[in-house]
Amino acid sequence: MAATRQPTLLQSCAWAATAKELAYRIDAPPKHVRTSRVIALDQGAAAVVAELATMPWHDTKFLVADAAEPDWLADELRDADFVMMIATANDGAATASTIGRECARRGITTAGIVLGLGFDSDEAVAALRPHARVLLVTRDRRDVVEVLSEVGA
Amino acid sequence: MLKREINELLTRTGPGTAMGDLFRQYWIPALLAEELPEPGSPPVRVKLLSERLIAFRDKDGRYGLIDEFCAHRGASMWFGNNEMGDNESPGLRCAYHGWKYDVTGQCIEVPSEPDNSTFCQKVKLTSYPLVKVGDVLWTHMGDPVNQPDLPEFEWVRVPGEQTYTSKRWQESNWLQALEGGIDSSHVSWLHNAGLKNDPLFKGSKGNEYNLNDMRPFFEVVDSDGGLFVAVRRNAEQGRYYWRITPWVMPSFTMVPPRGDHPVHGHFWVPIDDENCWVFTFDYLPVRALTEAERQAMKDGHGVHNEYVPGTYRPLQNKDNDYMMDRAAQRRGETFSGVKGIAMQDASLQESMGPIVDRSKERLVSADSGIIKARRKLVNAALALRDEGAEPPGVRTAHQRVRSVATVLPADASFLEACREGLTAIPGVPQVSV
Repeated sequence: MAATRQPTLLQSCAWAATAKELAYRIDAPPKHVRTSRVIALDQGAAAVVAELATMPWHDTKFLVADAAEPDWLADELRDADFVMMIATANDGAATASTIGRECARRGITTAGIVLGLGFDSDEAVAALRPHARVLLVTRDRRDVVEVLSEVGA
Repeated sequence: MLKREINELLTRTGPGTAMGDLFRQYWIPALLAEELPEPGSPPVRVKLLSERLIAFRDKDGRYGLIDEFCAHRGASMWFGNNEMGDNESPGLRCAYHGWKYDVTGQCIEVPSEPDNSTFCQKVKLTSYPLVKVGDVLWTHMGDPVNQPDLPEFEWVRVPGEQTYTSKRWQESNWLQALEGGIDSSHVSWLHNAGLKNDPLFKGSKGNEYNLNDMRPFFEVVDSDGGLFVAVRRNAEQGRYYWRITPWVMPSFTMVPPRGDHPVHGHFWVPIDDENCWVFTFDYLPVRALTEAERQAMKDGHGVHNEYVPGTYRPLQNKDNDYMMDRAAQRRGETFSGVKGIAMQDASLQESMGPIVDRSKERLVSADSGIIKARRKLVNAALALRDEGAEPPGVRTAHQRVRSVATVLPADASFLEACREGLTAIPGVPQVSV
């Protein structure tokens, strides 16, 4: 059995967490590309998505769910690894279900944001719950920007 | 990733900083009551929010928290004499030239001045109130005009036999420590062995749900005082097992309970920008802790820890690589090789550096609770600075919360179903599975 070697340099033990040693961390950000789709489930959400689309993002597309066109989803999800669904009303349940099932089939991470802007959001939350890995209920539209920015959209 | 300037805003809590001003709106834990057990106890050095202070208890039993350094020549009052004599007025006398101060920081004697001099009345050290609520001494370091009512967190309001509090030094900024309390997704990984073995966790039905579903779903909802971060996992017959963590601003979190075990949580308090105190509690709303439970806590089980004797420094620390045990890691007794829930968290949070550079991190959607919490802190700090707005969590009604662990039908809203369970109601047991 090999003898245990004790650390000899500062960076080879837990003291590497000091501020001085922190300066030696590799400064280049880790490689990270996320292909995101942000999908509005209703008319109110479409306005939110339209506003988001004017901001600078990486590989992100902003869409409005089109229940009348059966093939739209498959095309849009082809390269995606993250889908955020946005609801501002209770009428997007069927669309959320379709998107959620398709994302599950393709191994795409899903998030749901219910913007509780003056409506009883229980139905929207219940509709999204089975299909969103993370569900954020908020009155603050800036939260959408914040989550998208933080996950690298 | 977070902009560097936002990271700076969130992590700096010294005087004059936006986040420091936010912290100064609240009552925060300063030290444990056991540190000043009786009138005349030796003074204790306390650093909070980057201010060096001395805590003492005068001969009449009154608590004081004052500037650590004498107004005369700047000597530390830690060397001072907490005078107990029958003919002496209560107060702490500087060991250098004998200047004496009362618990409000008011100088009451300058021996070099004539007997009838009023000079001492013009000398006053900065001081803050220090009040015992539960097993904790609390302070409010902001403007006395805005001093809120005393804290109403249930853990410090139940009878003494129902509660236990410890504290430990963590060598990292307060925010990365707090974020560990909000981030429920690490539990199934880092702490999985603790659920099976720890005397304060093991045996609950909830543990089975935890261990059988490693890819939980999350819901984050605003509360009056902060957030509810809910995690759901699959249970039997299409139902969901929910664990709901309340975060009350600025830095109080409660872990959802397990079976009939005591309920625990933390209050994370900045010492300075690179260190924090973690006040850790266990309590039960309706019954006394058993001797076995209390002893397990003292022995460092559950969310508590063992200490370097005579200190509040964890026994496992940077100096010994947290007593890393690779053999235990290989055997699956611990996931990270570090023993105990508290030090599993602390070792990894300290490894991130004194203040983690959040401009380099890559969050995922499961981190939405952390994202939202940061945003609420920034918003509250800016609203306070720009408009003088009272931040969430100051009002005592916001503090009367509980964590919940429960099983609900698939279509139930956790918030609706658990509204009562999430509220601390005296005499009502916790909701737990």
